[in-house]
Formats: sequence, C-alpha cells, structure tokens
Amino acid sequence: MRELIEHTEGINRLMARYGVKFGIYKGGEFHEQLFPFDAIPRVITHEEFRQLERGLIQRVDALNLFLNDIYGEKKIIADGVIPEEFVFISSGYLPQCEGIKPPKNIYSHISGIDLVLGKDGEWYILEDNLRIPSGASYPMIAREICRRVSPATFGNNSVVDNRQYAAMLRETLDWVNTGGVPVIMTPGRYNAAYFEHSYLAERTGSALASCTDLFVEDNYLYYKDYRDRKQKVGVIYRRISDEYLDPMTFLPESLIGIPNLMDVYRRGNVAIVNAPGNGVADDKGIYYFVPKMIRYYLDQEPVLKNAPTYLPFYEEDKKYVLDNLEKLVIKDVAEAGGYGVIFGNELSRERLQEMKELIERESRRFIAQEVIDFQDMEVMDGDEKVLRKADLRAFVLSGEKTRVWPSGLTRFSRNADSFVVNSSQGGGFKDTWVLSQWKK
Amino acid sequence: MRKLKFEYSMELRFSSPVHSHYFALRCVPGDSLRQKITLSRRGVEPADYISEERDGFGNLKISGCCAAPHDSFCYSIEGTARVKGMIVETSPLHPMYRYPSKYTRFEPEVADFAEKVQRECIGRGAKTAVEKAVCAMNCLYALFQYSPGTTDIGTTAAEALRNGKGVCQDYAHIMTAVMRFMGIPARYVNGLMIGEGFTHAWTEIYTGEGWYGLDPTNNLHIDDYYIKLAHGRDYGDCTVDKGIFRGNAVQEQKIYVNVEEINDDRDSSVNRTSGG
Amino acid sequence: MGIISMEKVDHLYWLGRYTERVYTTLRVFFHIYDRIIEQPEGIYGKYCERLNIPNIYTSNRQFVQSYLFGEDNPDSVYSNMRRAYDNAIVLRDELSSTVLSYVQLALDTFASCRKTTAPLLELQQVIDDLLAFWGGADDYVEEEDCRNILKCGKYVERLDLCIRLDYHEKDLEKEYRKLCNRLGKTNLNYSPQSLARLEEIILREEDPKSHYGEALACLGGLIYAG
Repeated sequence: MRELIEHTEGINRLMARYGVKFGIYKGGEFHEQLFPFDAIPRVITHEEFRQLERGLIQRVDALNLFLNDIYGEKKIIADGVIPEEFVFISSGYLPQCEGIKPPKNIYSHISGIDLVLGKDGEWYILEDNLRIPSGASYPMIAREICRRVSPATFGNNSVVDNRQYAAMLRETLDWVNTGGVPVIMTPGRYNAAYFEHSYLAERTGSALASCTDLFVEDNYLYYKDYRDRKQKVGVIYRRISDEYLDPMTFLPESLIGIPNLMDVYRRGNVAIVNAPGNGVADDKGIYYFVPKMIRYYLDQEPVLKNAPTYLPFYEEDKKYVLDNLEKLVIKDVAEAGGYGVIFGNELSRERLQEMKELIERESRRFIAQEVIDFQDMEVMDGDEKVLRKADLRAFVLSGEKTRVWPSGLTRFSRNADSFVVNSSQGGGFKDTWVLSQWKK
Repeated sequence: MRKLKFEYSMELRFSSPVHSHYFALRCVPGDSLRQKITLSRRGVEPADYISEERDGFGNLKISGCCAAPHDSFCYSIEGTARVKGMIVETSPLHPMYRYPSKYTRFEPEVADFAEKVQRECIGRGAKTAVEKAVCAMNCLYALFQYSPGTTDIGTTAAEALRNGKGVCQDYAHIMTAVMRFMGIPARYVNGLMIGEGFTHAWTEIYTGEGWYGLDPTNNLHIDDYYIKLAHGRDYGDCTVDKGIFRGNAVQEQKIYVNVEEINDDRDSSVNRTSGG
Repeated sequence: MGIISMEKVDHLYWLGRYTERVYTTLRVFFHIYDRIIEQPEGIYGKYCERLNIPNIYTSNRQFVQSYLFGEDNPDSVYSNMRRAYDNAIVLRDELSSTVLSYVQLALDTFASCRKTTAPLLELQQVIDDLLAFWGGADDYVEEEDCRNILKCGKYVERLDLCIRLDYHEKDLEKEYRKLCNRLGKTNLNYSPQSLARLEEIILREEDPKSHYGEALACLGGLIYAG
C-alpha cells in the first residue's frame, strides 16, 4: 500500500495520458479537468460487502417493481402506500411512457446508489440515481493503472478484481437487446462524462454514436454507415436525458435526440437503457418511500437504512422540520448534482426564517434530513494525510439477475469542512476495494 | 345521436425543399363511447412509411418520415362519425389529470379566477362537478374575450388570463387549470366542430364516473356536433401535428376543416360557425 | 462491427491529415531552426508563402514562438495539434485508448513546453509520440476500413505538403502511389477526374511545377469527407 501511495503522482500522470477527465462549464465555457486520484483506497470487507449487496439488490429490485407498477397498474397508489401527488407532480414522471412494457420489464438497468458510512458503522443510503448515473469508468481505469504500478500491493491484499464492469455491462445490454447491435449514445464530447461514454464504448465493444448517426425507419432504429448501409440497433445505452431523447415526444425544440424513437420503443423494437421515465423513482421526494416500497413489493424488511428523512408534506413532519431547521439538511427535490442542498446550520437568522416560510408555502418541494455524522476518510495532501468527507456510489446492474459491481466510486470533498462530494464541485476520487473471502 | 360527415386536411408548402422530415399526427378521430368513426380516406404525402400507434394518453397517433427532399407535405382525413351528445363517458380516472401541468400551472391569476368561480358556485348553489364546471364556463365566457392573434401556441392559462383575450386553446387551458385548482380533474381536448373552419379545443371534466365535455369558447356543452381527435394534460400532450425537418425554408400552412350533418341518405346540413 | 458513420469517417480523415501536418511541418521546422543560426532575419517569409499561410511574424525569435506554440495563431503547429486531438478524442472506440493516448501525450507535451528555451529538445517527444501513434494505429485499430481512411487523410496531407514545399518529383510519385493504394481500398467518395488529373501532373507533365497550383486544387477536391 505504501508503494501505491508513493506513486500517486505517477498514477495521476498515467491517468492524464488516457484522458481520464470530466468536463465542467465555467462562465459558459467548457473546460476539461483531470479527476484527481487519491491512492489510499476505500476498503470494504467481504462480510460488509455481502450485507451491502443484499441491501442494494433488494432496493433496486423494489425500485424496478415500482416503475413497472407506476407506468402500469399503479397498485401502490391504490393501496395507499404512496400519496399520488408525489408521483404525478414529479417532473420525472412521463405520461408518454404509460402502458409501455420495456424489454424484460427492466427500467433501471444501471443504478447508481449513493451511500455514506456513518460513525456508528452503519451504511446509509443518500440517494438513488436511476437515470444516467456516471462514474464507473474512473475506478475501472484506476485499478488497471494501480495494478500496473504496484503489483505487490495487490499481491499482498486479496482484492476482488473490478475490471469486469465492462463485461457485466455488456451482459446487461445483451440481456435486453431486441436483436441488433448495441450502441452507446453520447450528446457529444462537450458533455461532463464524455470520457466515460467513449471508454465504455471501447470496453464493451459498442459503437459510440451521436444522434445524427441514428435514425428511425419503419419502426426500427438504425445506425447509419458512411456507405449508406444501415444496421439495426437492438439496444441503445443513451447518455442523454429523457427530455432530449425524442423531439417528437418530449421537448420539441430539442436539436439533439432521435425523432420518433419512442414509437420504436413502444413497439418493443429497441431497448432503451435506462428506460425513459425513471426519474419518477429517484426523485428526492420518492426517496422517503423506498423502504415502504421494499416492504410492499418484496414483503421484506429493508437491509439498508435511509438517512432519517422528513416530508413537510405531512403535518407532523412539517412541525418537526420547522422546529429543528437549524440542524437539518434541506433538499430541493427539483435540483440535482449537489445543488439545491441547504444546511440549516449555515443559514443566517433571516435566511432561516425565509426558508421556513418557503417550506410552509411549498411543502411538497422540499425534504429535510438529519445530518449524518459520517466517517472521514484519509486523503493524501502532498506528503501529509488529511481527513475528508467521502461517499460511495455503488453500481447495481439489472439483467438476467440483479448484481452489484464489487467496487464503486468513492468521491471525497475538496475542502475539510465541505460535505459536498459531487465531482462537479471539485474534489477527487479513490478506488474502492472489496476484499475477497479468500485471505492471503 | 347524429351522423356527421367530416373532412380535415392540412397542407404545408416550403419555400425551398426540406428533407429528413419527421412527423407525428393526431388528426384521426378514434372510436369511443360517444363517437363511432368510419374512415373513407386517410392520406399522408409524401411519406416513406406510416406507422399507427396509441400514445401514452390513449390517442391515435400516426408517425412517419420523408427522407428525400420535398417542397410540400399534406394529410387529409375524411369519413363519417356517429356521435352521441352530452354524455358522460365512463372510464377510470388517471390521477395526472388532477395536477397542474406546463400550460395549466396554479399561478396567482388561476387562483384568483378560481376564487371568483367559487363565489359564483355558492351563489348559484352549484354542487356537482358538472354544475361547478358549467358555472366556471359561464364565468370564463363572460370574462374572456375571443380575439385571434393576441396569444400563441406557447401561452399558458395564467398568461392568457392576464391578457384577457385569446382563442379556443386559451379558453380550454384556463378552464382546465381552474377545474383542477378547484379539485375537479380535467383534461384538454382537440377536435372538430360542426361547420367549416379550423380545428377546435375544449375541456373535459371528470364527474366521478367518467368524462364530460364543455366548450368554454362557445359556452356550450359538448353535444353531438363535436368530433374529438385527442386529449392530454394540456396542448403540449396532444398537438394535432408535430414535425421537424432539415432545410432552411419558410413554411406556409393551409388548413381545411368541414363537418356537416347527414340525415341518412339526404344531404341536408346544419350550419353553425366553429370557433378556433 | 464493420459499420462506420459519416461523422466518424470525417474525423478519421481529418485526424490523418492533422497528425501528418504536425509531423511533417515539425520536421521541416527542425531544418529552419538550424538555418536561422546563420541566416538573416525574416527567412520565414518564404516558408509562409509556400505553405500559403499569412506572414504575421515580426522576427525570427517571434516566429519560433508563435509558429510553434501560438494558441491564438490558427496556423501554429500547436493549433494543428489541437485539431488532431479534437478529431481523435471522438474516436476512442475505433482507435482504442492505447492509440488515442499518443495523441493526448503529443498535445500535452506541446502544452507543457510552451515556455521552454530549447523547444526542439522537448518537441522531439511530439515526433516520437506521433510515430508511436501511427505504429499503434497499424497494430491496434481493428477495422481495416478505419485504418485506410486514416491513411488516406495522411497521404493527402503528405502529398499536399510535398508539393508546397517543393519536394523531389520522385518523392511526389512515391506519396501519390501510397495514396492511390489506400484510396482504392476504402469506399470513400472521391472524384476520379481529380485523381486522373493529379496523376497526369505528377507522372507525365513535362514541367510539373508549372501545374502545381492545379495539382493542389485537385488534391483539395479529391475526397468528399466534409
């Protein structure tokens, strides 16, 4: 391990060579940044991973059942488990998807579940990302490089290999493929996660396509060749959001997207990964109900805990939130990516009062959570070890079976006092080791 | 029950040829409890292929593409409809019709108008959903002025209310918004109306058992002189025709709508003007 | 999977052209840099004229800096390197991460040695990276069609520069034959008339040099790759 840390600079140099970057927009201009890598890994023991695995599989299975239910029979609403307004006001709910049966009934093929480890030693779920979660490529390539730099580290520790992510992903795509080639669709190189799009295309043997390469004809989706040959597409792993997917169905002014793609999808002639409409299940407001979903659909007790959450929508919760605002985290359900997160203890007295009024007025718009006292992680700052907040994004793939990738993306905050670990707001990442049961 | 003969055509002319032209049309009336349709013509030209599908709202949708350069595009629909008037179409309610949508957000203008309607309802002793809806329609008809060209296809209910005038789309959006605000589920409808003119828009409200239509532009109940094309939360969900193409062209659109009554074999027609 | 989109063809072709432009102009620059030692100020004027780029330079010293590294100079070698990178970055799935990394390295080298007092010391690395890129492309780019399109771009650019820089007729002939060989193996849309005329000028004209303007025009209009 020391060897690995000693070579941090060299590892980062190799990452630069492979273009391991993410893009951000600053002042309207696109910049690419290297994603700083810290060599001290997050280590998850075999037993701990088993537990996480059970909890994550259970959670994602329930979320997939929920999505099938919402765009189908809506039993969970009829049975009074979730109030209907939380579903139908959500901007992620797309009535255009009503009645569509996605291939193999899978909505969320690739789920990115964000967790933190509390000081009590317990994992808490922070949020579910069921639309286009990104980040798996970073630990994949980091592991490749780390093994090259320090074989001894991996010789001395029995770390489960994580480089099979591409194979797992390909199997997931193949499972729902309706008969055609797989493509990864990118909005283009000026997207924050472009490195990942191109890297996953290379590693899964899929064609990387932009929307102009793809077109609909007679209810099938095709990839167009420069010689005017065309090849049928059976599964499209799209890395653009729902509203830009098909201008004939969603945003009409969208210039990207594939016109009439939704018709092909409705007929079952192509699989869209992840399915459009998933936003209804990873809405910050719906998060509160996921443990209830697990009990409702699977008749099981949730293995993993949510962070303690309050919905001002319920009178009782609203009272608690208004009385304790200064110690809670408030999240605006309409915002994503670390934005719209407000810490009650950072607010001035006036802002606190304003916030209370806002919550009174628009109680459906916010959720409130207890601040979880989560464990700090060691990060190298030059030659010095410092402590930073970190989370874990676990990747769960749903194909023939639901599987958890034995790794994950561990992100840490840039500043000591920051709780926000989103990569678009600075910070770096670590490899995540899952130890094998066979000790060395 | 009436038998109506309908004809609906649209022609687009482009100032220079366009290509890769994709379209999605909701211009074909479908069968329901209140209308039975017999089509005698359904033409879309030019088109490489045509596909027919029900959309997420249950509407008939025709989609397709014309890849090669072309300088005009048209569709025409002809047929007869057997229509029942002023009935409740029984059907379960989809909850989405309870909540505000893009064009029908609960903005202050909508809330203010709803308050006015509520007072009127109390005054008149309106209790059932239909009674309240008729009350809202009467208020809207009295307050809002029909005036083409003062709003556009992007105008929301609140904006239209602020403007004080507009066309059938605005009447229908305001009516839909106000009904939902008052706790009565409502949806936006596109369709055709007796006479010669344009396509029309109105509102359906949910009575508890099913859907019942009202035409606030004309202050009328939806009787057997109306043929429905499509419905949705608002205009955005059930646009009659949507298209995108490549090319730099100015387009000119011509629409022809004619609906007339036929009495068995005799061809006598009733003439009422349709508002658009 | 044997299917290459229009857009990718375009990027492959231009990647071939720009990497070649950087490689050859850099090598030529090594000679110019050497001659500057004895020659008077302003010898770059002729070079600019030949390459048909505007002579915006004010001194030998400034020429070296701006022509090599000028970020805002669209004709600088660095600008061309960036264009090569822009085309390469969207081709990872065709090129492979291994091959792509050499373009990245070449670009990073340029960016990091802008302030150096001994540019040729550092820029040797760019030449090495580009050679590794071409070697890697032969070895790792699986799709034969991709390799051929890439090389069509390369030889079009090579021939273009050879003509402009007044290379020996034998060199022109050699590069022309390489281009023909590759072009025949792709399904690229090209103009047979332009190719025929090009061949005539290079192989059969009595005084080919008097037709070089026309030859360059033929070359420019040869392939419709955008």
